[in-house]
Amino acid sequence: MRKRLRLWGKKRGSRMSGWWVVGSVSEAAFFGTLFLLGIVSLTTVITWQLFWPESSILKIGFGFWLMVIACSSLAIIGLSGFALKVSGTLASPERRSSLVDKAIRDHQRRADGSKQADNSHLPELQSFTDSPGVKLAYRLASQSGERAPLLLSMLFSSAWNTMLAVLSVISIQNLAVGRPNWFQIVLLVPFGVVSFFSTRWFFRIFRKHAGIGPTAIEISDLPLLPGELYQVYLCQYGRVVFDKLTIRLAGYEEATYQQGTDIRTERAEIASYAAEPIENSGQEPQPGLVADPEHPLEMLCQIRIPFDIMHSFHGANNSVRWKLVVTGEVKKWPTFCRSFPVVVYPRDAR
Amino acid sequence: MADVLPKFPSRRLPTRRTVAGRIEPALGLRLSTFQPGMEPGEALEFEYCIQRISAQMIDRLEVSVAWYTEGKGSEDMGVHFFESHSRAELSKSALSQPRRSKVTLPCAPLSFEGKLFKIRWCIRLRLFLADGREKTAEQRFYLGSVTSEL
Repeated sequence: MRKRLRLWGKKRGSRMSGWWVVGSVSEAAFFGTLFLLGIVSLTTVITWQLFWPESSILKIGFGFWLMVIACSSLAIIGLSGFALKVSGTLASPERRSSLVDKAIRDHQRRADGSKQADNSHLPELQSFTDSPGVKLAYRLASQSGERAPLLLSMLFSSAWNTMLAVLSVISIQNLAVGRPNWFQIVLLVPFGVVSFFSTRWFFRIFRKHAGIGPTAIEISDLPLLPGELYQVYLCQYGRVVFDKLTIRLAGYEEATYQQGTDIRTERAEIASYAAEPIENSGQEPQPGLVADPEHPLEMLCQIRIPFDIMHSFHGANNSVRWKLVVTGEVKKWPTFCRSFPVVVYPRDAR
Repeated sequence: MADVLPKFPSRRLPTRRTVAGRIEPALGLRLSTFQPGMEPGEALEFEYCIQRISAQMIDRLEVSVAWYTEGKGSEDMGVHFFESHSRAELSKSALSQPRRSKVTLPCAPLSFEGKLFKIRWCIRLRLFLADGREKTAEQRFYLGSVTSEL
C-alpha cells in the first residue's frame, strides 16, 4: 500500500501521526545546510586573506577573528547536528545505547585493564574513600553545595554596600560644595534598606555556618551494603551545647527535566534511617552534648542498612543519592544541619 | 432506554486505506518463568516469535534486555543485552517457531519505584520492515525486591 506524503504531523500520546521520515530528513537537511554555509563562509574569509592580503575587506583584526569564530561555530553545530540526526535515523535507541556502553567498557578496559561488569550507573567509589579517618576507616567530605548561599550572600552584600558607600560619598561631596542632588539623597534611603537586609541575611548565614565549629564524620567501611552494620563516628569542634544531636542516613531521588528553555531539577526524600548511639543510649535531653575548644564532642553510633534499601544510582537525568545528615538543636541558634554524601551499592556489586 | 448509534465517517474510506489492505505483523514475546520478579545474577529466559509476515518483508529484528527511567525527569536508558538478527539469519528457520534466549541479569540498577521516577527493566523486540515501518513489543519484569510502591 502506498503512503501519502504528509508534511505536518500531530502528536498522539507518545507517538506522532504522519511519516517520521519527513521530519528527520528536514532536520538533517537543515543541519547539513548550516554546515555547508559555515564551511563556505570560512573558506571565503580565509582564502580572501591568502590571495588578496592588501584588500581592505576582511583585514586581519577583531572583525576577521570574529568572522572565523562565527563561521567555525556554524560548521561545528551543523556537522554535529547532522551526524546526530543521521545516527538517530539509522540506529535504534537500543543499538546506540549498546554501542556507547561498549565503547565506555572498552575504554575502561584499556585504561585500567579491569574486566569488571559495567557499573557506570553506580557512583565512583574513589571520591568517597580518598580520605582516611583517625578513628574509623574513612573520613567523609561535607556536601560542598551548602557553602553556596554563604558565598552568594557575601558577594551580594559586599557589592551592594560598596555601591551605597560610593553614592553616599558623592552625595556628601555635592552637599559640601553647595550643590545638593536631592534625587540622589532620597535614593539613598531605599538603597540603605536593601543594604541593611542584605547584610543581615549574610550575617545570619555566616553565624549558622561559622558560629558552630566544623563537624567531622568517619565511617567504618564504604560502600554501604544492604543488611550490613556500620559504625559512624562524629566529632564536633568549637564551643557549643546541643539540646539534641542526631545522625541519620537519608536517601533522595533527583530528577532533571527540561521545561521550555529551562532545565529544572526536583528532589524528594525517599527514606531515612536513624543511627543509634553506642555509648549514650539516647536519653532526652542528652546532658553530655557539650563541645569546647579543648574537648570536642565525640559520638560513636551504629547504623544497620536494611535489606530492601535502594542503591545509589547515577544517571544522566535521574539519580538516587544517599547521605549522612547530622542535625542539632542549640538554644538561641538556628537548627544546625550538615550532610555528608555516602554511597550505597547493591549486594553483589562490590 | 437510550439508543446509542455508532458514529460513521461522513465519507467512505478508500479501499487502499482499510486495515485489511496492510499486513500487520504480530510479535510474540513471553518470559519462560512464571513470576515477573527476577533476582540479580539469575538467568532470564524468554522466547519470541514473529507471525503474519514473510521473511522477505523483514529488514532486521533487534532483541534487547534494557532498563529505562520513567517519570518526571528526562529518560535515561541502559542496554544489558543486545542482538540484531538480519533477514538471512531469520530465514534459516520458520518465523512462527519460538526462538529462545537466555541472559544472566546484572546486579544493578535494580527496579525502583520512587516518587519522581521509576527504573524499569524490559525485554524489547524491535522489528524493522523492508518498507521502513517499525514494530515494537515489550515485556516488563521486576529486577530485585527493593520497592514495589513508595
